[in-house]
Amino acid sequence: MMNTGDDIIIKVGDETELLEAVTQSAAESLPIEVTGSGSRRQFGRPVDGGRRLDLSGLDGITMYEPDELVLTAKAATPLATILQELDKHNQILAFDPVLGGDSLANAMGTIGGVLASNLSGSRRLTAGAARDYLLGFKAVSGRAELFQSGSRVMKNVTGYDLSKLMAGSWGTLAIMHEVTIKTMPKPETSASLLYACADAMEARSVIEAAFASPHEPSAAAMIPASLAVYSSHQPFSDFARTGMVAVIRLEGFETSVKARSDALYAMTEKTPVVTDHALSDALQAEIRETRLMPRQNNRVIWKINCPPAEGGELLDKLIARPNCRGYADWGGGLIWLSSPSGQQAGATAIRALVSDYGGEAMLHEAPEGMRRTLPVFHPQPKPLEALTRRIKSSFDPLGILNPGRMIAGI
Amino acid sequence: MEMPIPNAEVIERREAIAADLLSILGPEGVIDDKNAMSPFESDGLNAYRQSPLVVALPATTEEVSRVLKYCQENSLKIVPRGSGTSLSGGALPLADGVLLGLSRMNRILEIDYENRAVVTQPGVTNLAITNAVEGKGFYYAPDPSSQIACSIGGNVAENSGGVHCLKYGLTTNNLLGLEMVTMDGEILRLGGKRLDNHGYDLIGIMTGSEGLLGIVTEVTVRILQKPAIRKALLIGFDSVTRASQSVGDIIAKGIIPAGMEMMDRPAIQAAEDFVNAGYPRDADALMIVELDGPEAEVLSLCGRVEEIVRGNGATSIRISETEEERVLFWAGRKSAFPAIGRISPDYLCMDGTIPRRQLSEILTRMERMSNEFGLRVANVFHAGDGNLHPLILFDANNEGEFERAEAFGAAILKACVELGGVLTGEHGVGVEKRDLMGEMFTEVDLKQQQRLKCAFDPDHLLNPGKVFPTLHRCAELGRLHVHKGQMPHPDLPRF
Repeated sequence: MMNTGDDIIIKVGDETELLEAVTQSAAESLPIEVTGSGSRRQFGRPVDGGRRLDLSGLDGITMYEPDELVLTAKAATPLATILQELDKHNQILAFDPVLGGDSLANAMGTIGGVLASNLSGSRRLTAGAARDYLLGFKAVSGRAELFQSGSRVMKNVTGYDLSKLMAGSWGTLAIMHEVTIKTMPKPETSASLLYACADAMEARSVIEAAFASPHEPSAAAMIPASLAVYSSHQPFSDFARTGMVAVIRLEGFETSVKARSDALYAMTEKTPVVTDHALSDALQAEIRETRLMPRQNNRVIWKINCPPAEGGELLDKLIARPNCRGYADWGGGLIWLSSPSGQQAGATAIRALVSDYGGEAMLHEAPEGMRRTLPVFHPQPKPLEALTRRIKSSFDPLGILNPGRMIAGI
Repeated sequence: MEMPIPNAEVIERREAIAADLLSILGPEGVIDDKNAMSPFESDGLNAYRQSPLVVALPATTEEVSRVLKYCQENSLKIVPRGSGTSLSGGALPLADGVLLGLSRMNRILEIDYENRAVVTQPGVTNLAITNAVEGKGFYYAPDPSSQIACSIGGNVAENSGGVHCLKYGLTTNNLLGLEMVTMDGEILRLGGKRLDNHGYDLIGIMTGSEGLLGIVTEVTVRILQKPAIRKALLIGFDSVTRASQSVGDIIAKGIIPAGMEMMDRPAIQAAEDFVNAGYPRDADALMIVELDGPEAEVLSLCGRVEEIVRGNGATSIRISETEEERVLFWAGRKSAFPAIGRISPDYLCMDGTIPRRQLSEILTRMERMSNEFGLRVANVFHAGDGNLHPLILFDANNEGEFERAEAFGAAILKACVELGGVLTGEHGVGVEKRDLMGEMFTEVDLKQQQRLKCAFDPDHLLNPGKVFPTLHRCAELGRLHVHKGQMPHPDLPRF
């Protein structure tokens, strides 16, 4: 890592030590870089200087009541621990977190990191984002004060909903040390329907028809054949000669998935390939984990949010750019784009195009130096940035928590 | 209920202020006649009344911005109001405050079926959104019981829920975008039709902020495809414990019903007397379980639910055969409030949430409190998410009974917090639960929330006197004393 100088690491094991560490940093006005497992250091803007506060000792599930759909864990509990425990009770995190590994046991990162970066997987289109599942938290603010918000119940409007603010704030407002999340039942089974289409516009219309039906897809993606060939699974790689594959995923109870799959099959003139449960999950993992995107040294990966219905046209335009490749998840609402890293990764042109379609582009995977000099997140209008600064300052007046992690200078 | 002391100087300037507002909004946008202002004196919590300084009714975002700027420059307080259906006094006027009504901003601006989005002005009612899209088979999921009257802007302010929250979430889970105006008149656009947004989740923090952070001038909501079918099960039990056990068992089996409601004996009887929905009068607890979705799924789940409740000793089970029957099953539950209104001159509706497994415990405690306070209580609740609505029966004509009912209500909410729950599940804090906030939050927690308010409204001009029991000046809240290696507040208990 750059700019850490002497690279001091402070490891804390409980909230008392956490509070002491923040108090000390506040007293000396020294910035802190907050990490759990450190897996998210490769994303977002790198923190500007500072000692590293390692939370990995804050580990463990402290309460889990499956029939109440609620779990409380210390913030740096590995995502793998949580997902495996949920799986024992046939439950999941419905927002479908990106695992960064090939199994639940190999999932990377911590629950605090997943929530702080508000990163959701393919089911986000229908099940909501990570932020929708954070019910309450305990934290230390940049003022070196322990505080809490929310609770363990799902219906709660007592005071401001600070959980929403914490999710996606990348540790810049306060350091969560305990989180309470809503869990959901694991779908009994799933099936995916794969449709060969000419281009993203056509794929999008197949997806639109499925979502306009009463057959309740849970996720949908558009994969260019040139990327589908990278799949390790044959039905996908078989689509090599078509332009674009539309993937529609169904999940739920066995009887329901069967009935809906039959109904969708009969609904269009196109004949889809229908997968079984295991294959459906395997393909979904490849889509969620961006495994269909080859990684190369001189390329960056953009994560683009846009209105789902614009996703077809926008994807067609983005991948028509020189040397750009990409695919869409969230029914079109999320585009993963790989572009050459030269000429500032084409940031200005890509962001202008994305803005035209009502979207935002995040520089998701890029060398550290580039994530420091180019804005990682879509630049905000001035009045919004001013409000962002005031909010930051209301939690962290000295600017010691993860300074610059989202926006340079904040 | 103590409210901030009105500023006599402002009240003296009333006519001049009304004239200034008139120049901004024109004659249709200002009401300053005392009699004409009387409908604005209270909201759904009508035990409290106060005539506002003047009523301002802007018709556009620009007008909202100009009014706020004017008020900021002249240090005038603002109380925002949608349809005035708040049950917690969120729109209770201030004698020295401008009541800002959004009712003239009542147009749906855009329906975008492909993006499942409706863009609307804040004064449109919740139900009007569903009405506008149901022809094409869509609906807007949050359905507070006041949905025929409550506005979508008010829903955002209160983070309104309804009977389908377990499966479909509250308002906060169904929003895509907002346009808002901050107290200094700045117009901000948040989100849009995309699913996720960069930067701090300001839509999330605006939702449920009870009009203390800004004025919402446009809302983009997510609409959903209507489920293929809906079926309801009407299930009687001879004990609340068995009913409560069944709720947990259904969820533990991986079933998330669209709605799961429960009523206790007094509520069942009052409702049955009122609408004759065929409720079992001899049951101690009644559950309504609604399942929605693809036909094959709903039919199979009806069977699974029936099996679970039979195993828990249900004394009666009916499954709706037709849509009319399903609506009839709900009719009793939906008219529970007026039904109670028939058997008691007055009632207070409370709104705590508890972890579901504490249901028997809270009902036992309520029964004991009912004897102590000498007042009857009937219970309807959203069993799936643990949200209770105890209805405390009283007669305001009897000296001291309103105060006793309020004390009973406060005792119930304190018990909810003690059992791991919260003061309010969907009605908001407002003025009603303001002074109970200390039961749930420490002084540090509350000050942090107020610091956030300072980022939006440093002079405390937006809806002061609501939500927070003590108003701290922002300069005082912002102070930070850190000495080397010392706690900023050594006098406070740390854990």
